Amino acid sequence: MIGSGTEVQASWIPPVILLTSLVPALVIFLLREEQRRARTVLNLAGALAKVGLVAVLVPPVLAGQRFEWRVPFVPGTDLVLRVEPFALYFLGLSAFLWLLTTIYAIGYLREGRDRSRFFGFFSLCVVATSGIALSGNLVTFVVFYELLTLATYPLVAHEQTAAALRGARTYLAYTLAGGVALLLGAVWLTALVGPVEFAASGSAAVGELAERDPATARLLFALLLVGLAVKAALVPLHGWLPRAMVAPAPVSALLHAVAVVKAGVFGIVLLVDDVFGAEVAQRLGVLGPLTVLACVTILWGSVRALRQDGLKARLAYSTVSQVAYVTLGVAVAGATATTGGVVHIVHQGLMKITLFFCAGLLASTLGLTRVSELSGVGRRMPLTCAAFTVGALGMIGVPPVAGYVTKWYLGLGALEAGAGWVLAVLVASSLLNAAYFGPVVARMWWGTPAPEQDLPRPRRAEGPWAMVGPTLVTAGASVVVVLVAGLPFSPLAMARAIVEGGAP
Amino acid sequence: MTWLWAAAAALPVAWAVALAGAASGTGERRRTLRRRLLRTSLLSLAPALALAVLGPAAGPLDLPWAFLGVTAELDDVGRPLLLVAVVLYGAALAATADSRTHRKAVLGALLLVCFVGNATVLVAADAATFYLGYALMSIPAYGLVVHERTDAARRAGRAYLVLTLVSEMAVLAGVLLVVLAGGMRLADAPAAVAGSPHLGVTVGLLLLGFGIKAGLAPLHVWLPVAHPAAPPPASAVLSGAMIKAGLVGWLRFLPLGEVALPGWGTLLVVLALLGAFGVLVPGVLTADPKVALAYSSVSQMGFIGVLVGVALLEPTLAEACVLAAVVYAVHHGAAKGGLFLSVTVWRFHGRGRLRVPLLAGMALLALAVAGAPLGSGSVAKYAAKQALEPSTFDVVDLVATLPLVGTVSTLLLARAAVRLLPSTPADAWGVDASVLTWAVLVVGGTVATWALAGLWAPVVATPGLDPVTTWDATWPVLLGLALTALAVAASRRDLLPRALAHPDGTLVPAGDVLVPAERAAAAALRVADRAARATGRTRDRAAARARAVLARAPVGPVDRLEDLLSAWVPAGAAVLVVAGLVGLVLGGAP
Repeated sequence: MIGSGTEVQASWIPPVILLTSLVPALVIFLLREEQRRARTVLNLAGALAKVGLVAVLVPPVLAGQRFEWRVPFVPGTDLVLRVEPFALYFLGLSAFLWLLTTIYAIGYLREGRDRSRFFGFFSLCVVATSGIALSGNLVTFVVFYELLTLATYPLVAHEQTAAALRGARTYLAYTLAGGVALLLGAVWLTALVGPVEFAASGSAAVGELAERDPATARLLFALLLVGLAVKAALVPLHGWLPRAMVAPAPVSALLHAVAVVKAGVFGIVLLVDDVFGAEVAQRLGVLGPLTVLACVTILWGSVRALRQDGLKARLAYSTVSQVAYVTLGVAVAGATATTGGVVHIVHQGLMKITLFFCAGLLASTLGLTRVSELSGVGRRMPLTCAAFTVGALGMIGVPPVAGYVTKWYLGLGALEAGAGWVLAVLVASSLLNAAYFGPVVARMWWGTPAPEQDLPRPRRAEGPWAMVGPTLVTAGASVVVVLVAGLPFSPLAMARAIVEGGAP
Repeated sequence: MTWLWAAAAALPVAWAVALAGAASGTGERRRTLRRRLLRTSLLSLAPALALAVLGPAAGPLDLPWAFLGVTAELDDVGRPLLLVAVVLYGAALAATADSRTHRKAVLGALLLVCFVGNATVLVAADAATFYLGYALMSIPAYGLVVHERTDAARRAGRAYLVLTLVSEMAVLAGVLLVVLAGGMRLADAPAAVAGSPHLGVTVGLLLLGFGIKAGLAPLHVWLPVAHPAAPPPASAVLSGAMIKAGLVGWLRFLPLGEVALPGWGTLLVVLALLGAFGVLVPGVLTADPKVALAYSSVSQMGFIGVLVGVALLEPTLAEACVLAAVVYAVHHGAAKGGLFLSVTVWRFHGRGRLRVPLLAGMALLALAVAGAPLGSGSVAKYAAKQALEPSTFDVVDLVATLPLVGTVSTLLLARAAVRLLPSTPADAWGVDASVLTWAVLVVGGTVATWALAGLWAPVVATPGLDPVTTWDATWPVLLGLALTALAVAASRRDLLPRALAHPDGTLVPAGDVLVPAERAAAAALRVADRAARATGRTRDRAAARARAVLARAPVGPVDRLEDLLSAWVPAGAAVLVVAGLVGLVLGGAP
């Protein structure tokens, strides 16, 4: 989003950001399976370099500087990578969580197989996510969006069991179909108005199209939305997400917190705010249906989550519900609601990755994968359960965990927009969240283990520190980000700056 | 003095984290560490105590960088209640350290977290901070309720959590409506609500949300099941401090003194009276002293509810009613908290040389709660009477009716005493921290309110000692005692049916209307479950059918085409060879 008072300069920084993940990816593919140390060093070096780059970029970008890299791609259209506040925001989240997930994955896959393949695609997945974050026009976005689909397939199928392959096939069927819709929409739109650059209040050319031919504009919006809604898991296109749960825990964590699902909602935010522009979208009358769709998704995901006994399945449906908060935020008119939606990209990411890390720890240390088996686990794995409790409370929206700030902004934004019923949906969703997370937490701490279930005494550690450490960091971060929500570079401050357009 | 505010919040949290960290492990060093941490946890409340004593001299707190902006100050409502909260939580922590409950460290950690939330509610100066504290207090309190892990505790925990979450959500929606109307700062909130286009919805949500916390009938059902299930120190803070948060919520957000709301005001007064008197039936028919005490809390909160209701009805009386409600809350917080702790203290010390002082202290507390002269209860009741005297509320004569709440209290407390005192106490111990803190509560619950009301709330008139005033305070208690004597005599001589003479809670179980509500909820859940299963089956069948159709239809023709083409491959090769030969022949031909 290019606001006023900004200065765009050509720069090599954007491709360098991609290279911090691409180089490790390519080298790791060439490594032999047993070269563990080299792989670890490469992974961590890339992840740290990226976190460092992002950290250095935050102050100048918030001060109004933009870094852009542009090469001709197809005739008439450039491949554009641009560092702007929203891009940096998403990039920051993915860089931070990628670093932690990499550490976690190293612990998780200590004795796994095909680790070079795994970490290669893992890094490639981050390349794609970074590319999505940095894309400056629609075509660039589509390219990286497709790359993400392809890079994640091997991760979902990693275990290569029949179930994993089936889940991965479902995933591919959904996302490729979505990709076709997105590509079709992008090509059609480009054919009509030329290359679509993302801009703060929507692309001017798209605005003219909406003025000239609202019916086509609406159709295009719908087409692009369908493409994005698959990854964003909006009902009824969410079916792949619970089935992709067969993936290893770090992959699920990344899929749910930063990569695939977030790419979908990031795209929806771009579509509404930067392609069409919130005002144009409002005039076209597409935001009302989008609000309804988001609300249906929020409630449906929660209702389905209630009935899952598998911990990961419950978390998956919870993601369906929670990620729709972001969509809801952009669909409800007004800056307050949009801020709530944008800030939830980070908040949900931190809380959900914590929950998945915990699920992975419970599964790998004690072999527990079902909610009904978790009675009394708190005594055996107190740190893990404490982290899980933080994440769950955040999802419900209980202060002082991050989720409540989102709910505050979304609720207030809905009221400001005169949509009180959206607040009712949020309240209902919170109660449902409590209904499916509450019993899990209560079971962990106050449940009595079944007599036939033998939980080892708390002697040994809860798991490798490479797994416990990141879990505690993300749980802590879910509280800290709102504890300091008023400071300049907190997610909330960033979200405000993004929504207000450019300079804070 | 930002540092003092910061210490008041940070120290208890730090202690809570340390206690939680030390909670697991069975080694001797771990146990010593736990004991030390628990013993010293009282100290972490010191900064909060300093704040309450300093009052406005401590200055306001303003931290724009924290959360959604944290502001706090000590006013006429928050300051005395904060003082009570500090004393009460301190007493509860001391009692926890001495008690023989399991997992004392966990209980202590939860108490400390609840304290931070509770204190935040009392001193918050803006809506977001208030909500933060409200949640920070309510949700961890679930751990207090279910601490004993018995089936009764789990059931109580479920009831508590469901109602608390409903309360939480109603409060969130209500508070957001207040903020929308421009009431982010609590000082502006009543006026903002009064001018809000959503006045009715806002007031309704606030009454519902805070009513659950304050034990407003018929939302009180969690109290009589939660109190007996929770360990006594936890009951003490639940009843003494936490339910007062509901009252504070009403006082902060309702448009008291701004606009007359006859409908909502009447509703609140009627429900509050229902609670104040209706609980007598289940309360005296119980065998558990803590259930009787819990119902007495509901009755007393009903009294306070009447004050708030009248303030809603008649804006001119609002100021006096609010102050009277605060005085009453301070009195009840200290006295009822003390009574709940008496249960623990009595069980450990009732046999020893402390027997007589204990009995005397408990009698003092009970008389104070009932409103006997010279006690804090009489001050509070006198204040309430003064506030209500000019009221024109014509459904019931409030000034004539409310003294009878004292009779209800007397009966309920007598019932609790009848059940508690003969129970065989454990071995006698010496004087320890829990007895000392309990003694502080005895003083606080009986005479301190008197002093504080004169000192901090000069608008409230304290009762004189003339015969009329004294008689006004005495007769409800005497009436209650007379009725108790009658009941005891009748049951001794077998004049009553057995179920009434020695009630054990089967006639009207603790939680009264909770029981049918639970049954209805269970039935509704069963229906929903069946519906969900049916939907799932339908969907699975449809999906299977769709898959079958897909498997048959397009694949068939595609496969056939593929067969056809692959059959043509050798044929194609033959064609190519033939064509090549023909070409060569033709090309070769000149």
